[in-house]
Amino acid sequence: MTLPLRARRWAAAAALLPLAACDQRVQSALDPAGPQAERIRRLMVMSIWIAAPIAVAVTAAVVWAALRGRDSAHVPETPRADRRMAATVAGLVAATVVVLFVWMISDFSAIRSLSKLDGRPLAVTLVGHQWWWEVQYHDSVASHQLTTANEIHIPVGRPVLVTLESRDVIHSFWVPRLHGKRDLIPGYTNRIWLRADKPGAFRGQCAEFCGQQHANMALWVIAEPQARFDAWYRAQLQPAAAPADSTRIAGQKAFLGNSCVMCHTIRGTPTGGRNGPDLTHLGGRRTLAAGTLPNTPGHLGGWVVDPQGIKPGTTMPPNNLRPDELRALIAYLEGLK
Amino acid sequence: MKREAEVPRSALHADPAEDARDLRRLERTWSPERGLWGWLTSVDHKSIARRYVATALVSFVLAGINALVMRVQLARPESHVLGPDAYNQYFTTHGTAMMFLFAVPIMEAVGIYFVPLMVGTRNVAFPRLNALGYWTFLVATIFLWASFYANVGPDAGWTAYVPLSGPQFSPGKRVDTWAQMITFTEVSALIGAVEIITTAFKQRAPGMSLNRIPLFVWAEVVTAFMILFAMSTIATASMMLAMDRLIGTHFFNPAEGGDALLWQHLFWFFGHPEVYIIFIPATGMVSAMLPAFTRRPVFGYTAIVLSLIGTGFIGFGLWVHHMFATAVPWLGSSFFTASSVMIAVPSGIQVLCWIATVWDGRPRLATPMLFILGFLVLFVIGGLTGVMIASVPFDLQMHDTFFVVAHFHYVLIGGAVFPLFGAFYYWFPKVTGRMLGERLGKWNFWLFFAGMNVTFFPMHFLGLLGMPRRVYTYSPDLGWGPLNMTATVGAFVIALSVLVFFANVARSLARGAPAGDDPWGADSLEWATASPPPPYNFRYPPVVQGRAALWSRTPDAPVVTGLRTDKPEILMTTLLDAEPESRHVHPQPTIWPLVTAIGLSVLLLSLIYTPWGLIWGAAAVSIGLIGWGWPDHHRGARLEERG
Amino acid sequence: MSAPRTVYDASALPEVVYGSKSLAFWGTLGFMVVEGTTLAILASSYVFLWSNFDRWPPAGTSPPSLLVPTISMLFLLASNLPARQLAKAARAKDLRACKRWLVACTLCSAGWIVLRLLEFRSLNTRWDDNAYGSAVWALAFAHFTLLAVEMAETLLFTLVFLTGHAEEKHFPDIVDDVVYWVFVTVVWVPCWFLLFVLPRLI
Repeated sequence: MTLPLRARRWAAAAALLPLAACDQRVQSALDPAGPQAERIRRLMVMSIWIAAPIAVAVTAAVVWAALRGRDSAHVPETPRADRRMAATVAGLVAATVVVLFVWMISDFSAIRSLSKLDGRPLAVTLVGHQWWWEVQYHDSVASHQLTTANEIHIPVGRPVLVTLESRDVIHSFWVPRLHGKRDLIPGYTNRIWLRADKPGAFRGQCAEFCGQQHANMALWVIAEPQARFDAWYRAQLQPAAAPADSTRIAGQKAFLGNSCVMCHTIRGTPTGGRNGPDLTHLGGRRTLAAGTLPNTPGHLGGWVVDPQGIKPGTTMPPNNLRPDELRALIAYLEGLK
Repeated sequence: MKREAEVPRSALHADPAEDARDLRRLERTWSPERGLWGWLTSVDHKSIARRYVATALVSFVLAGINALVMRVQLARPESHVLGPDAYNQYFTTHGTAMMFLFAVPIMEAVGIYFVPLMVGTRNVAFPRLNALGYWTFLVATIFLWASFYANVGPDAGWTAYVPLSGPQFSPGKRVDTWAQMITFTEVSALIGAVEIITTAFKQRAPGMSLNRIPLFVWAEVVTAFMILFAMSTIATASMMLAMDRLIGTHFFNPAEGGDALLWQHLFWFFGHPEVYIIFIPATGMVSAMLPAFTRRPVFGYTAIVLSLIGTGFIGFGLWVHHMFATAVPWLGSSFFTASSVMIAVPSGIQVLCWIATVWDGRPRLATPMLFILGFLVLFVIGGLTGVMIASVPFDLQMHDTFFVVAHFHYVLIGGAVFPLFGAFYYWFPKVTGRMLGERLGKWNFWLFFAGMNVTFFPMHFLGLLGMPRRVYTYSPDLGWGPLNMTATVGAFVIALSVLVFFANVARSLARGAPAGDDPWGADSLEWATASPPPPYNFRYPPVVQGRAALWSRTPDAPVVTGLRTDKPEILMTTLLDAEPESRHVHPQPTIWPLVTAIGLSVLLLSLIYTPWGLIWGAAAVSIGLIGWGWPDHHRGARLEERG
Repeated sequence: MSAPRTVYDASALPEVVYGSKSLAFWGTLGFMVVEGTTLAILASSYVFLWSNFDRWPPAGTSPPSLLVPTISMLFLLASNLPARQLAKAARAKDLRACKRWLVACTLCSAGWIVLRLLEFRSLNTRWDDNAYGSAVWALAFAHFTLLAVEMAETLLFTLVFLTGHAEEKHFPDIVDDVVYWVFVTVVWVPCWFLLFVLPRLI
């Protein structure tokens, strides 16, 4: 019985080869989770439905034209035949213009529906850095403002207005399942509206070449029901809890005693570095180093010791820690939920 | 000064001995000098164009190897063939070399070879300038590849977006290399453009009025005009970038009021026409080849000419569609969407005219014809995806993804390299006197066509699945592995087809079938002379009696006589109707273009390191130009000797 | 191919032709397009960067003085008078008049250079001060290189003529040189307006 099953699997795999990633669509524009991405998907599908028959028809015409008269005896070229052909060509040109016009109108109507969403938005500022994302939540109450990194949590169903800035080079914010991309340009402030209509984790990635680690500049948008989002937000506002056990106390000491503090902030400790991501609640994030590694103690240890080996060119320097120091540091950082 | 009666002039001789003497004198007058010196001093458009093509093909192969290495790196997730630093140099150099050192120059080079032959003249308008253009181009080529192999190749992308390419984020000399190389190649491209325009305007054979100019020549002229505007723009922009990096100007530095988007506007004002600068000559090649393989003139001559000119104009009106994601205002983006969609109309007209030509002709499926048919299919696919991404919403999703990579490779390989390979097969016999093999030719075509689709069609899906371009690696969790592996396999199939091509060339050069003057039964003037053409191209400048010059030629083959045979004289004609107007003496072979190119190299290369290079370089260039401009009058033409 | 027959005997055609009939004219025109585009791009960049500033020249930068640049611009225009005489002499193939006016024109072009160097000082900014300074200097300097090229070319012709190396084919070349002369002098007028007048008006 195993053989047919395996054969069936192979057949299914072969059939789906071009879209083998069906079950891995965390970053696919074809699997929208918000109104804009859905609108664009519809436009893309429509475009493909217009284009595919044209491509097939032209290919067929080319092949047929090349084969029909091949090796035939002399075909007399009459002015009449040329006139008939001219009429055909003119008709096809006219048809082309009409198709293009209709196509263009549907583009325009799609643009209109993308530019703004209704409702009071959640305001988030995203600042691009080589090669990570700084995320700032705004609130009229200063103590409710929040800075985090590489992960944007949003409530499902509520519009989000993301303000885009860059401190160094041009980056581009792109979460295909929610919307198209928008650039972060030094000297400019851009905005993009988003809304997630279903809960989930949507991967995004920098889409404008930004130097050595452009490939490893990812972020996650995590859409949760309002209540869970509020809970997350409240938790994030808290400073880091003081370490309770001796390992973590040693870890905090290692953190404060090494060069970590030059660039990183952990609220609740005497740190204020702004060159690297805020680590106050690092333990709760999905990934490390802007989507480069899954957030596990092992990967964290590797990252702290040898960032240049994992993400060559990154601004994070390697750290020479004693094994016990490193273990303590990992325990401390992973404990920052 | 000889008296008029003693001046030897070409004439039709009844006496074979006199005829032979006359021919020998013509040959002596036009032949380059011998040996290495002759090679360095040649001003013959054919030998210069051959060098251009050979040099550009070297870049094509090297940049192709870059592509293969990148494809190996991307074949599987998280592989370690290339690190990020190397990968960035690989893709930047791949794009830069393919655009600036291969595609544009090779299209112009084919024009430099065939425009004079097709219009029935003996050389390009400014032969020494032409030589200077080549030497400059050679320096650029050597310079870019030497930097790349010395691990100081440019690494900010072929678009070199600021501020990434600016002094702060790209220290070192990598980007300077890029910027100066751009300036070099643009000098050479601009020279080529001036050559082609002037040759086509003033040196056409009598009778070749505007409405009889071969479509290939039209295409080269339209391209040349686009080059004048587009290449001046990028040369200026690259100088601005170089100044930002060298002497601390702030054009692109937001901290001092500069603007990162200014670069993008300037770059794409050049960069979009650039695509048409590559594509339009390719369409000209298609129009030049079709008559021979369908045994009828191209359908819709006037429509095609107007389409070319229309494309030339609209091509400058759509640069912002590369910048939709930078948040241009809605109204502006709509205009650029409309123009980007509308440029499909002239291209569509041309495609329909070509299909009509095949439809009503009697097609002969030789290798060049296969490449034309392949071109039609691939170009239409690339054109359709182009219309898709002209749309702002579609573009916001697919911009800077592999969808776009797929699109522009369909347009550039399908739309330009396929016609170019067809043209290699078509014109190789004219240039070398030998036919390329048909059997290997068919292998070449089918492998290329298959490899092209296997490589680039899956990239559309990769884009849709969210894969950005210019990434050196990707996570296995994203599911892009199988499609990438497929693309890599396809890339090796393309490489194989290119190998087959070079094997075919080698085999033909060694023992190819002799071609004769006109192996294809074609219609244009280059086939009216020997293969390869003699240094003076035509024993007697031909007179054109119809649009298809050779097909409409009467049996007694009218010609022009009376040009001097002791001086390299060419016939000049009027702009519109090509009526004979004057005789022009062409320059002799000379070393000064090479000296000037060396001076120019001193200028531009030293400017990478110090602003004082401007002074030294200007001095070096002056030496070349003074030597160039100083009259050598070995013919005793001095006014004051005559008294 | 059957025997060709003569249909056109070119021996009576002229060897020396002027203006748009000559090849050099078209080459000159091509390079004028290239250089005109270069200046247009720099001017557009100047305007584009202007939009980033509230005040132009930006606060802290004094505006350029008007006197020397205006004298320089007017001198450029005035220098077309001797250039015109030179072209006339060349068309008439008058060797002596050509020599005379070539010397005059060379002196004029040297005058351009001197005035432009003074003009750089009256810009009142440096290229590395800010984007304004960069834009102003780029336009002024780019045009300066055109002036220098034109001066060099005229000087070369002058030397060729004064040392008795002139040939008949040089006459049309001189006419083309004057075409370029007109171009480099007149093209500065809109640039002058953009750099020195427009910021005062707005």
